[in-house]
Amino acid sequence: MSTKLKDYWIYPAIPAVPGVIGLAVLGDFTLQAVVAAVVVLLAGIAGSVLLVKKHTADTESAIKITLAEAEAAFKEEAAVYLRSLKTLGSDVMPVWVRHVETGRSQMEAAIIDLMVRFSGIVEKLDAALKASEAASVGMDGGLASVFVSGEKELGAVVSSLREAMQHKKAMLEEIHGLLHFIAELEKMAIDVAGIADQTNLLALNAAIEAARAGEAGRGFAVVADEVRKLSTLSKEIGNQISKKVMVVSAAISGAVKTAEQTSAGEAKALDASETSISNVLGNFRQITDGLSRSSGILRKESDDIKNEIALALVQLQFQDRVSQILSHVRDNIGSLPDYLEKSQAEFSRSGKLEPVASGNLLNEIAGTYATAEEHSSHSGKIQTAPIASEISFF
Amino acid sequence: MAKTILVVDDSASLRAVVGIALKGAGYDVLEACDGKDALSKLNGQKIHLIISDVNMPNMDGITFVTEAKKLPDYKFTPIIMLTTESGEGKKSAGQAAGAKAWVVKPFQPPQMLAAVSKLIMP
Repeated sequence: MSTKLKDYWIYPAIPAVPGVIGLAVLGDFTLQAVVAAVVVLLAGIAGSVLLVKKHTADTESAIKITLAEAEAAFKEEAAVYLRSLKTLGSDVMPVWVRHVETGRSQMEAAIIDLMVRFSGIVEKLDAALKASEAASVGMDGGLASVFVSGEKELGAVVSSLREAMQHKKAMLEEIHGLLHFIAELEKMAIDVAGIADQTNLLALNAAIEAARAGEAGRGFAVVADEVRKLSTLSKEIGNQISKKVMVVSAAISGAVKTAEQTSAGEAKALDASETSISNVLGNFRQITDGLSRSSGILRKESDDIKNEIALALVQLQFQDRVSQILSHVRDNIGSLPDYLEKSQAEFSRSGKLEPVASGNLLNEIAGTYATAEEHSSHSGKIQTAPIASEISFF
Repeated sequence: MAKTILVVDDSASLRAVVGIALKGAGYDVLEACDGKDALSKLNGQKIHLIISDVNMPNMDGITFVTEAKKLPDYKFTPIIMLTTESGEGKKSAGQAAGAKAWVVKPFQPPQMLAAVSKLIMP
């Protein structure tokens, strides 16, 4: 700043000019009056010059003092500001870095836990499906096979029972035929009794004839008596045979009657069993069909869930991309304090305020980019993460 | 006997996703968290295929593939790169190192399994 004469001459001229004009007018423009006026004018000019010089000197002195004070104050403020930046780098940014890292690591831990749980769901689904399939497919080819086998075996049982009933019926008929022989036996017993009676009569006649013959017929009388005893015995045996035959006949008739009643009951029971077996097999078929359908639905649902989980796992890979981006930001924030410290050191050394090399910082983080969206974000464009993977074979 | 696949990725969640997909298809899975860790797993045991990330700490995927191909036991083991990198430069570097396929994340399990089935050693 400098003080110029032309800027200040007007102030001493204000009293000087009227003085000069006054002297000249009052002195009637005589030589003395004009000289006096010129002297006054020159004195005014000289006073102006001295005033300006003095003012300039005082002003420059004041400016120097002010500048020195301002420079000292600025240096102090700049030092404080740079120290605050350094503090920002040493105290604040590490906190940011730790927060970013905490968020990144917590997200990674949560995603891993989520993945493990998804994996567990898939494993449990597989186990449930295998157990279900083992239940429906096991036992030599599954429930359908078991059903067919059971139906065949139960049919064979019913056939065996029917065959046994036929045999039983034939046997009963044969037993029934025995009654005819029993009747013959009864007639034969009666015949034996009749023969015994006639023999007894003959023996009696022989005894009479023997008695009539006297001493000569005594031996024949003994024979006739023995024959009579035999005929009596034969009649008793014939009667006993007849009684036994009647007992046997009654027993056989009773047995046949009982067997016929039993057979009728058995036939009804067999028919009822056959109906029950058919009903049971029908119910069993419904169950097996239902189980088969359920198994199919379970398998399909399981496959659908597994596919959904596979898609979820694809989506969860965002964590890796986010983790990488956060790591790059974290590292870049972490390197900023060095830049701030260099700036402060340069100021301390040379007193110059060097700007922070933000270009270098940007180049540094750009060099770490791995994803396409990082490059896009860097240049201010918005790009979403890819959904489908690219595969190149070499 | 199930075939063994080595999965190399610094992201535990990605290793989990790949593991779930592969185990579900009946493969045995070994895991490594970076290239250096993966090289320590290549100790003579039979590994039928390797799936590796590219950007990893300690040793990146391209260096790992290069080093793995120097080992006689694993010279012919097929390697699939699984990465977020889709740039042609990195892809060419992977091919030059000896990788057989390049899969960009996120991967679809059926596509990954198809690639594994196509490349895995008998």
